[in-house]
Amino acid sequence: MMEESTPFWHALELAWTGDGALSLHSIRLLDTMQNMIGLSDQRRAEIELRFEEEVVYDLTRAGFGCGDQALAAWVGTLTFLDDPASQDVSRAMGKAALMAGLSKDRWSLTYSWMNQLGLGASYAEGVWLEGEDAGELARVPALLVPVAHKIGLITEDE
Amino acid sequence: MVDKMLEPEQILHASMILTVESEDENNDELILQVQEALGCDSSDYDAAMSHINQHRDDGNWGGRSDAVLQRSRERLREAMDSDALPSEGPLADSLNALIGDDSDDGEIDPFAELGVSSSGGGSFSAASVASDDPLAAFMDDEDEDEDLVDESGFLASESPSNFIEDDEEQESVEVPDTSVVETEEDVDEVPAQEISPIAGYEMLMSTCWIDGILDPAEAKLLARKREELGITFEQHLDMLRDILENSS
Repeated sequence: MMEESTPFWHALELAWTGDGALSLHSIRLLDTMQNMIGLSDQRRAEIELRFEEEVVYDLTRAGFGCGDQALAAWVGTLTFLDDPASQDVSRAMGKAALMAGLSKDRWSLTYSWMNQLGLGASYAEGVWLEGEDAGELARVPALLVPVAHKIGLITEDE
Repeated sequence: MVDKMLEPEQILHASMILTVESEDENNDELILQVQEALGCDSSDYDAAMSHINQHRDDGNWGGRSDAVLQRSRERLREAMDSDALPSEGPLADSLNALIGDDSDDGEIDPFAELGVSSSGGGSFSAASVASDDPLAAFMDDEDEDEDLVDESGFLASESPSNFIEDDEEQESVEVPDTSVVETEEDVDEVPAQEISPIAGYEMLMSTCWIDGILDPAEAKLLARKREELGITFEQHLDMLRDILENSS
């Protein structure tokens, strides 16, 4: 189901794994994110259920949910979706992924990730060289940094 | 059964393989002339060179250097025979020198006798000719129908068509699930079953991760095939999803 390879899963990680607790602020931020990316309640429930099973049950609480700071910053990057260039950047990202060497697993993971942001089609066009040639990826937007890591375009140090 | 010419990119690729394996491995001028004669652009060159660098293995080609070189020679010969490249003049002389005198020694090619080009099958005919050259899966149209088994083996059982597979020497022809064909006479009796463009494209797409990594040349080839066959990108994504689901 690829729940792990979605922006919402990434948001849950940010919210929970700071200190093993989820703050009320984080809950509101997650709601905001759900609305911004148009995630259905059903799909959100599937992801959260899986996240509880895979991550939350193994956490040890050590605070009051300090992950909300990182989550707030992350949710802020979602404004990239309103950028008219977001689709072009996604296409360029797809082409960059192809040039970097895209395995079957990486394709599945990254396409799932981009799809949840509504950028799946343009990303796929970049990977599969559909339509006009995608431009070069000048820089990776903060929103897409996690997926750029998955592709191998940038390293953890960067 | 429809013969199809070699694609220019395939011919360029073959000439580049022979060049890098020749004594004069830096014969850029010759490659440039071939490129111009074929109408290929720098992206074709880059894609072919990327593929060569990825698979050359210091000239070992994964232990199959003889087969790779032989296949490349055959392609250049066919390109010159079909006028895709000049058969006379200075370029032809250089190419002949590159190919060398490694002839077939009069060996009869059963596929040629049948009217099936040994290197240019191209169409999505179920009776396309294949080899076990691993490189062919990336650069050949006709061989795109051949490696129907990925690491998970899903296409081996799902392929809707029979297909003919030959070994390097093209000594035998095998038709799985129906009969094993040993002789030229028997080969004549193999029915040619045309398959739909969608099924053919799906088979071609199934080979794109045969080495684990999607190659730009493969993506480019698939893009061109989509255009040729009138397959929409949405259909492509649907097929891709099915393939990935079946292989997982």
